[in-house]
Amino acid sequence: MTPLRAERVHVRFGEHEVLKGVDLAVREGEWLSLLGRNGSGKTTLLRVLAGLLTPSSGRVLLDGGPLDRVPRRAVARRIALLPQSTPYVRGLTVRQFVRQGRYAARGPLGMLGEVDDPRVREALRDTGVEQWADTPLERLSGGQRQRVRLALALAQDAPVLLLDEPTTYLDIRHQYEVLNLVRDLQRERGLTVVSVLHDLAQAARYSDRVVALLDGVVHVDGAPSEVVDAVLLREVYDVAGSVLWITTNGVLKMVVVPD
Amino acid sequence: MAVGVVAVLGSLALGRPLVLFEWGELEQVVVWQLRLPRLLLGVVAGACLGTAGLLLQESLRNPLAVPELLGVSSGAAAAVGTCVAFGVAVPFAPLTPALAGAAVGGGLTLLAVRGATGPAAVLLIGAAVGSACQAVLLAATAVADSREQGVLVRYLLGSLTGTTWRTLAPVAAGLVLVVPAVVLVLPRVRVLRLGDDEALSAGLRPGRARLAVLGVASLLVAAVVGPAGPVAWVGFFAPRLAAWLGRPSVPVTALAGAVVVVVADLVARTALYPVELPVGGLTALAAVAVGLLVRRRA
Repeated sequence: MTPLRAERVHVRFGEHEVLKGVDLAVREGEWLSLLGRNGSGKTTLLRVLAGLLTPSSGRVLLDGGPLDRVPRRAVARRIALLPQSTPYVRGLTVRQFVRQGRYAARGPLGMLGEVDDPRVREALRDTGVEQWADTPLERLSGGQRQRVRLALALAQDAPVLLLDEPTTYLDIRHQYEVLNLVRDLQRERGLTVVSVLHDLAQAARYSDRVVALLDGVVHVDGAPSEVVDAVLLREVYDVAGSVLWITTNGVLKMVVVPD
Repeated sequence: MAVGVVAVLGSLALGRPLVLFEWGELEQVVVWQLRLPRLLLGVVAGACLGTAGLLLQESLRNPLAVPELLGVSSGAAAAVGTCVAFGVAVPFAPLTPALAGAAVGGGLTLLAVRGATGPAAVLLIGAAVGSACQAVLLAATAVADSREQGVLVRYLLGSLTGTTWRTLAPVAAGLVLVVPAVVLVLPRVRVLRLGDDEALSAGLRPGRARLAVLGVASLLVAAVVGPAGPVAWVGFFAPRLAAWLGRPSVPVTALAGAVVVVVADLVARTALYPVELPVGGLTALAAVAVGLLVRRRA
C-alpha cells in the first residue's frame, strides 16, 4: 500500500530546475528520510508531497488518486506537515495554537470542536506539552515551541506525517526527545513518516528507509544499513570518509568518520 | 465594561442641554432624536472598525494591516464621496458604493502586495493605494457644489454629526450581513495566524481565506463609512487596546473600539461647543496616545 507516490515530478524555479523527474513511492507505516546536500531539493520534494507546491510537471498520488484534485480539507485529514520554520505567533496559548490543527475536522462553521477536543488533549499529552497548555506561546523556549508545533501537526490526526528538519533549533537532548517521540507515535499509531533530516546518524538510526537526492533525482534508495556507506558520503555529500556501524544495547548505530 | 457604561451615560447626558435632573420635552427630544442615534452609530462604528482591524491584522500577521493602511477605508470614502459629488444615484447607497470602494481599495493593495506580508511592503503599497483614493476624494470635493462640501468633509475626516434614526437604517442592514460573515470567517482567521504553510497543512488555502477576510473587513468598514466616514485608526488601536487588556478577542476589540469612538465623539461634540470637531481627528490623536502607551508597556 502506498499512501503517497510521486511520479516523474519536475519542479522549476525560473530557469533553475530543482527536481528533474523524481519517482518515489512511500510505503504505509514506514519512516522514510530524505537525504542530500543543501539545495538538493529535499524540502521542495516534501512540499510537493504535502501539496504545498504544485510540480511543474509530473504528479503526486494520494491513496492512488491525484493529490491536486483532493479538496484541501480532505488532504489535511490524510497528511500533516511540520514545516521547516513557523512565523512567530504571539497572543495564543499552547492549547489555542494546537486546536487549529482540528480545522479540517470541524464543520463548515468551524465552531464545532472548539470547546474540548480529545484529539487536542491527546496531542498535548503525547508531545509532553500538557503542562503548558494555558501558557502563551511566546513564553516557551525554542525546544518547547518545537514540541508544540509537532502537537499541532499531530492534532490533525492524519495517518501521514511529513517533517521538515524537525530537530532544527533543538539541543541534542531535545533532538532525541522529538525523534523518539515520533518513532513511538509511528509504532503506536501506525503513522507513515517522511522526514528531511540533515544528521546522517539520526536518519540512519530512526528511518526504515533513506532516499538520497542528487542533481534533482533519486540517487540512492534503500534501508540505512544497506545504503549509508562511504560511497554515499562521497557521491551525495562530496565528503571523503568512512561510515562505521556499531551495535550498542542491541541498537544498530552509525558513525561518520571523515578522512 | 465600567468605562463603557460611563461613556454611554456621559454621551447621553453631557452637552447642551445638560440632561441630569430634568426630563422635560426638550431633553426627551435631544436624547431620543439626537444623542441616542448618534451614540448607537458611534458604538457600531467603533465595533465594526475595531473588528475589521483585528481580522486584517491577524489574517495578514501584521500589526500595520489596518483598514486605513490597506486602502479599505479610503476606498470606501472615495466611492461614497464621488457618488455624492456627482449626484450618482446608487441603490442601497451609501452601503453599496462604500462596499464596492472598500473592496476595490483593499483588493488593489492585496493584489500589489501579492503574498508579501512583511510590514514594510503592506505599509508602502497600502499607503500608495490609500493616497490615490484620498486624491479621488479631494478631487470630488473640489468639483462638488458648495452644498455638498460639508457632506464630503465627513468622508474625508469621519464625523457623527447630524446622525438620526434614518441614518441608522442602512447601518442596521449592514449589520445583518456583517455579524454572520464575521462568525463564518473567524475560524479561518485563527488558522491564518499560524502561518501560510501551517494553514495549508491544516486544510485552509491562505490566499482564498485572506480574500474572504478582506471581503468581510470591507463589509465592516463599508457599513460604517457610509453614514460616518472613515473614523481614523480605530482599526489600529482597538485590537492593540484589547491585547493590552490581555483579551485580544473580537468581543473585547469591538467593545474597545466602541468605547473609544463614543468617548471621542463626546469630546468632539462638547469640547469647543458650539463648534463640533471631526471625531476622526480625535481618534487619530487617540491612536497616537495608545500606540505610545502600548509601546512603553511592551
